[in-house]
Amino acid sequence: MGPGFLPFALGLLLLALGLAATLHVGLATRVAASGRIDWRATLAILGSLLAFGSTVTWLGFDPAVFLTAFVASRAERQTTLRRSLWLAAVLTVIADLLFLRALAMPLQAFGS
Amino acid sequence: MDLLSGLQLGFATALQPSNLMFAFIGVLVGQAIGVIPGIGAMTAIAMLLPLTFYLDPTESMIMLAGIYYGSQYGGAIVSILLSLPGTPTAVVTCFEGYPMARNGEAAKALRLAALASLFGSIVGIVIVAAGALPLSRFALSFGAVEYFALMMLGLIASSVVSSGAPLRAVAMSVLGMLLGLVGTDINTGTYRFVLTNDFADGVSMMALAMGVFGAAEILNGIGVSGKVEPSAMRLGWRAMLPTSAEMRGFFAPAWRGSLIGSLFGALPGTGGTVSTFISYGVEQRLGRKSGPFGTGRPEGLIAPEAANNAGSITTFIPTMTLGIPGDAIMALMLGALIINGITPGPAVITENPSLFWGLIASFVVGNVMLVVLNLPLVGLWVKFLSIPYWALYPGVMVCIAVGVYTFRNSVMDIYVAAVFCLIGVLMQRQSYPAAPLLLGFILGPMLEENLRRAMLLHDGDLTVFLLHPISAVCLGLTVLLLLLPLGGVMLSRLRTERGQGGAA
Repeated sequence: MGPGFLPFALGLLLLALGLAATLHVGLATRVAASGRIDWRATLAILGSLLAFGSTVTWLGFDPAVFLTAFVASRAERQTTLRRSLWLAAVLTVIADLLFLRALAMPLQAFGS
Repeated sequence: MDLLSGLQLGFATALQPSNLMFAFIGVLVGQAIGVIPGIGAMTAIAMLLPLTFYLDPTESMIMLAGIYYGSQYGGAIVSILLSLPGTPTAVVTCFEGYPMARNGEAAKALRLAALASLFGSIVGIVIVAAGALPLSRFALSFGAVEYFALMMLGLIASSVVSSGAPLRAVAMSVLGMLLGLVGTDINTGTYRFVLTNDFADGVSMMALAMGVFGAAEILNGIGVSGKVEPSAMRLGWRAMLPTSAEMRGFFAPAWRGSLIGSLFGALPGTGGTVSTFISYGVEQRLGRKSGPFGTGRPEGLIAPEAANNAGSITTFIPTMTLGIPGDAIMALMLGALIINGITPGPAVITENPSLFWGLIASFVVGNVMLVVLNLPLVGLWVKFLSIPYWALYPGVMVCIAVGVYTFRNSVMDIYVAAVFCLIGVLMQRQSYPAAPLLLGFILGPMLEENLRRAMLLHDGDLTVFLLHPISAVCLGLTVLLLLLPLGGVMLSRLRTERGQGGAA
């Protein structure tokens, strides 16, 4: 049994399951799609991850945390811009103290 | 090592200052995360997983386990006061707990839930302590064939039993297994599905768990809010003293719930959520003569609370003795053990006795802490509930991003988490359950290893799976579980056809 056996077998199985789900055969309990997707919130949450990934090795940990928190906070419609900036600033200070000082994670606060 | 000396060692370990501290941190975080609607134990455990690199395995497990059972206590508070289940196991708690709070019995509901949680946990702890040792001795005789069959059973059972859509659940666990196979094949060193070097060690467990569960859970919480009953805002410790009248009606449902929960928790593959629904159903059946449910019946609150706490303790039996996780959270804990260099399985008890017994003793310690947190200090958590969501979730997002990144020091993993977040949102919209995906991801590589070892030992003869009795029973049960929903569908179809025939 080589390294490709299980991936191949599982691939075939998934193909069959996918077909069965598409055809809505009796096995699939039909469930209605639940609710609409809140695209603003989804984009903000995705964006906050992307913001962290694209800045953490380049601008440093603190700016990356600030951007992550700021972008994430935009998901909620009621949050004002001012409030987002405040929240992000406070979280940056907490994250710096917790992760860099208390836990001494080997990350740069600013710069690469 | 027998039970008594094991417990002695366990308490000696659990009562060490550092372990006491990590148990406290665990239950505190668990309680807090349980109280925040929309963020579950899964997210909390994954968030703190990178921290465990700095701790020894015993400290890590004590802390992570504390989060898990602590969240069950915390989840009850939101369910009772706001009817917003903080964890999936707390859904049933809303059924009777919220009506009780609306009838002005919030304090009674909260103290009954806390006491039921304690009762269920104690029953669970006794069962784990008594049962784990014999089971692990039995499991020592298992070979690759038995493990493969057991894992199949666990995977299929969790897919079929815990979700309403078995086909989708099985599809998700197969997808999870495929994702688990990404990376370097351990037997031959061949790269499989490796696009860039970032995936040479496989897909990051953190990125998968945080994307599909963490970020998706946060999204669910946005736009949802509730108001705490003003009467509950002023709960002091005096209001939390139980009366003797309510204790008389407490023990019978608490026993029933604990036993149902313990049973389902101990079976591989079926987590606590199922047991809460079943024990609620039992109470409904037993109590239907004395009026309708959903109106604030204490027994309908006590039994499921006892069940989910008992189950959350006994689910450590398959996880610790067989290395087969009971649910997605246990799968994550198993991942944490492996990261810490410990191979889960029957040998854990003999090779790391202080880890195993220390963990069990820490359940006792942690539950005592939780009762203090929940009975005299309940007012604190009610106030905690009034912190708005908008102020909480960006901080959780930061923890998720930091956690995913520091887990393997890989920027690519953050992008992978983002992709999984999007997949998680789409899965949720199409009602594809996420738990089997993670379970398949963790079990997939273990399943493959055992399958290949079994085939190597038996010259590629597939019939060994049917000739070994334990394996044959497990695989038979697996097939039965797969056919069960099919039979149910056919039966209901037959009935509707007959019904239509009769009407015409």
